[in-house]
Amino acid sequence: MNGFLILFYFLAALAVISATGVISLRHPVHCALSLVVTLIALAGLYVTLQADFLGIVQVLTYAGAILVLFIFIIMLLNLQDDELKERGYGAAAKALLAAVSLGLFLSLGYLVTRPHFPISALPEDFGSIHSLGKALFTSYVIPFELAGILLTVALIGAVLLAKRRLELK
Amino acid sequence: MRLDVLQLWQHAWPSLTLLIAAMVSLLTSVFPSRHRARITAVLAATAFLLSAQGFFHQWGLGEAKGFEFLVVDPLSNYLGALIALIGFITSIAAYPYILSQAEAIPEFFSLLLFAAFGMTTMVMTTNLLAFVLGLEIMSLSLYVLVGLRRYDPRSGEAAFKYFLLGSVATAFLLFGISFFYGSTGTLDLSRIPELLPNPEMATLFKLGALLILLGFAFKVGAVPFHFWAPDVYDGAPMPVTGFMATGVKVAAFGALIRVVEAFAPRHELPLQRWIVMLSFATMIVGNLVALRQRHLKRILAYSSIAHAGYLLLGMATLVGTGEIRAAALSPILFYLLVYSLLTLGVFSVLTILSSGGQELNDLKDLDGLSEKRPVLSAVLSVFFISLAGVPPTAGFLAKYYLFSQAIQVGLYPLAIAGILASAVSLYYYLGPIVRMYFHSHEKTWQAPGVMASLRLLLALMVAGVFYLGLFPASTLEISRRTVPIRALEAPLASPSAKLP
Amino acid sequence: MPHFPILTLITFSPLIGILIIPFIPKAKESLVKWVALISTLPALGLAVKLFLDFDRTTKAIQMAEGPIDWIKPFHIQYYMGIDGLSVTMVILTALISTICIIASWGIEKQVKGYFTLFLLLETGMMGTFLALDFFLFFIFWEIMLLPMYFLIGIWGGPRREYAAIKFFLYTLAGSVLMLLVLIAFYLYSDGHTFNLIALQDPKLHLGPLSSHGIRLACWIGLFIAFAIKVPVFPFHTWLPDAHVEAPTAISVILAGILLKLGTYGILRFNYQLFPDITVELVKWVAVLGVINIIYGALCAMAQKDFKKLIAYSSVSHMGFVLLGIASLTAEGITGGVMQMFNHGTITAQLFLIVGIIYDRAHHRDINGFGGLATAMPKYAVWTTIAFFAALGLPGLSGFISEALIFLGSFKNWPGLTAVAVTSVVLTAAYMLWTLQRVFLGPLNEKYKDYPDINGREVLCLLPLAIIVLAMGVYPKPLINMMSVSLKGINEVLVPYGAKVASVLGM
Repeated sequence: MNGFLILFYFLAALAVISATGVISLRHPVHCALSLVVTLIALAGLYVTLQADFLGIVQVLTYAGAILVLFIFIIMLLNLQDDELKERGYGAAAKALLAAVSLGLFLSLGYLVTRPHFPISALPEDFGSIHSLGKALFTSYVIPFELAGILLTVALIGAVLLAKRRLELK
Repeated sequence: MRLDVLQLWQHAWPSLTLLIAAMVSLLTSVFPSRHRARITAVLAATAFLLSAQGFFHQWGLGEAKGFEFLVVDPLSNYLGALIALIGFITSIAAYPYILSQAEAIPEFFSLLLFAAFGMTTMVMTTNLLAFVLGLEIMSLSLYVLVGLRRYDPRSGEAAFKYFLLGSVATAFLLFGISFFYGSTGTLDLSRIPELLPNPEMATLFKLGALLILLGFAFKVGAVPFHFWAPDVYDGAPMPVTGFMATGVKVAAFGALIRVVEAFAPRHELPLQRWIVMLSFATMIVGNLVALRQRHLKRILAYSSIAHAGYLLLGMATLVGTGEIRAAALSPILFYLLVYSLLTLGVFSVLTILSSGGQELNDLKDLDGLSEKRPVLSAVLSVFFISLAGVPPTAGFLAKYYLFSQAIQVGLYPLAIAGILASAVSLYYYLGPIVRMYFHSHEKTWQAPGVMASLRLLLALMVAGVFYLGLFPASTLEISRRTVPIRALEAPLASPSAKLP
Repeated sequence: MPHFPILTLITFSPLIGILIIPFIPKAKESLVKWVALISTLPALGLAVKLFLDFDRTTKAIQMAEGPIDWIKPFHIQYYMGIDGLSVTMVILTALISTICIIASWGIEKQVKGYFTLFLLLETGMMGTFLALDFFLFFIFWEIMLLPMYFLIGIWGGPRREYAAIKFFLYTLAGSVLMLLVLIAFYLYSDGHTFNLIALQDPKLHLGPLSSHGIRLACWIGLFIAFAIKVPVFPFHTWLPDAHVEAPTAISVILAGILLKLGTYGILRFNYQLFPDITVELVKWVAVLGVINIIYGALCAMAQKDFKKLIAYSSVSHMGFVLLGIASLTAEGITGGVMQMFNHGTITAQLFLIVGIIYDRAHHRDINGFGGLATAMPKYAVWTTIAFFAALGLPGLSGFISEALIFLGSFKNWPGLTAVAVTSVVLTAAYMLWTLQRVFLGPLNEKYKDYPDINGREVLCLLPLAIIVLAMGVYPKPLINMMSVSLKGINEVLVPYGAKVASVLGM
């Protein structure tokens, strides 16, 4: 139980610290990488809460697909180096970052190969694709549809704000 | 549990009408037609009107049971009808403005409908999950609507600010909701009464309630979470500002009524003290800061903050027991109606005046308007005077009802502060009137004509201001009969469904 | 409606003009003026009928309309009625309104707006005097506020914006206090009634409203609300500004009618709803009245601006009203209400007179005139009549009311009355001094060719002057109308320590 708590606090602290990094670092690629760390740490937290499927999807979609998109866009922006005013890192900072990275990977490895976390009595198929899908499409169908509408609105908004200005006649 | 789609449609069709219209109006941009703008506007206005009619019809039917995430009762229908009417007035008043100011006409109306759908969702649920989704649908649509004038840097700034601070508000809310879930194991507010007090979780529960309340304080623009309002109002396109000032208030206060109703029986929460403090600060700061403003929209922003303060005063009276709660809801509902009517009236006129291609901004822009546009000036003056609460207009009666209710439940200092604050408000509402009537004009007015439909609408709204001020009995009766059944029965009956 | 709704008609008949005026083409300004004049005539005609039909033998409410439920959820009723206290004021309002429309014939700026607001103002004033439901009274009270604000602010002099806002804020402060008392009555009266006649029964005052402290607070709140209107020192500072900036006709309305609403309110509300507190605090009302009298007179003496001088003389004369009603004797109160009527007619003349010379000279500096009696002899005669009436010359109406006030107040406040009597000398001094500076002495060459007073101006002054002369010689019709009701007001106060008087057969 103690190891579990340490793991939880480690991942939680990492999520918060790297989220701070997203908004405080200057180089866009560094920001994006900080975001990856946040998202992976969150995925780890999901797994500790027995939501395996959610954890995996989190890694796949956010850390995988969306972040790639981000970095792709940053590349397209083609920022010049002098706009970024890069700062170097000291040896101590580098060592700390390396240790944190190692910790993250170790905890993820532990989580993936763990036997079982004794949080509380849960149904056998808790967190599985089957039960999640069933919940989403039966008892939670209204919030599910609402979330769909929310994404539609976001899409419309993004297109509207990004599209080129037409000449008014 | 399976969802019966037919049953859902039967009870929620007024709200779903908005959603369908929002989708359909997007499709109109597929057809390149000269009449595209008009078709979309007519579609949106019709949908809003139909939806309002539907809500009103449902209001007469009473409460419908059987949905987990959906509450269809007189309260939700009253607020839904109000939101749909706000959308209707906005879509008509905005038409000439949108035609001259923006290229994204179908998208404007579509987002308006989406936002209204989000608002109706907010007032039609006691489940915090569905509520947050409704809130986000509304907010996302509004962020985009605020930034509609993309080529105007102030509009972009306002949209970005609104987005950031709105997200902070949502974060507060989500934080509170997660604490609430953690301490109670449910997301449904209507289950609160059956929960046993749990001393271990007391702090978490209290913190959750406080954070949820603060999230709302953000959304309604209560002091000290009001600072986004002036900038966002200032930068947003005029009709969108009007829609925000009314629709968001109705939706957020509607949801807040549910929250306060749910938490009120939990005496371990100092709910009344929290709301009283918020209300006090909001009324005082809103009105005093408005005195110092020189920009029309900033004055209106602080005015809407001040009105949020009065409504919070109503909320404070809601935190009582049984009968008082039932009696306290009616003034809030009546006030929401009157406030929406008056604020939309002001913004409709300002939208007309901004349709010439230049947004009204400084108070100076109104100089000498009475000589050029005597009728519009008179109409605008009526709305301002009524907002200040001068009899015999609706604004006075609404305030009178609210304050006398507060005095009745013994909130003397708050009620007296409210009355004094609203007396102060007259001064800044008179500012634009002084400009229109007492100053001579320097600039030439680009004076667009007013559509016949808009003229009729404005005439009806002015008539409404006096009708509600002089003969309010039937409307008061509607607001009185809108009290949720639960509030009348002091201890709540437990719902049959079991916790998830 | 069981009988002819004379009071409703008298109140709302000016609105006919408001319905017609917006549809008159902008160019036809004189048509607008005629419509406005004609729509004040029904009220004037009905006021004459009121004068003839009024039952002078009862103190009860007459010609009552209602009470009918108006806003039922709030127990608000439509209730209009008249008694000896309000009847003279209603007649005065009808008369002055018609005269002021004639006096406004020279208005050129935004004519339609001016007359619309004017007629709305008349409805507000009539309604305030006639309403017998507290809420209805408050509505009419507030209806007067905005037209007055605009009439000063749009058509006023150079500092009109300042004067209008000052007027507005002062009156608003009073309204807020009145609103608080209103809510207190709604919450704590038996049956939540606003009916002012029913509320005279102290048994209906329940809960906090029956405790001495709250009653005291309510009395003071109402008194301040009305004192601002009177205006009582130290709430008077809006008055000179408003008068100086307002156009002539509006000054006449302001001095002739609006100020009376203050003292009317004190008699209708403070005296009749809180007789116990009234008797307890009446000493201070008398003191304030004497301060008003002396302070107003001294200020008037120091003025160089003709209109400001009249404004301060108004403050002084309204002090007499206060002193009269504070005497708590039948003749003092009768004298006070009569003074309200007389001050209405006399001050209206004074402001019209100032307006006449201002129209010609475009300034009001008293020292800038001189010898006008040679250039405008008829004008000098009219002015002299009004000035003599104002300083209380026997044979003119002002004398009667002042004498009654002194008679009454001497019984209760001999010391204060002695102080107040000295103002007779002060008033005579500033009035005569002004007459001398304006009309006597060498003629200023600039004013040699001024036309004398014209027909329209005479038409305004004539009815007022006739009343002043008639009431000075034979005041009985006026006194008879009010005395029974006012005696009734006094009798209510007797159990709490007021004195009953019996001179003059009252």
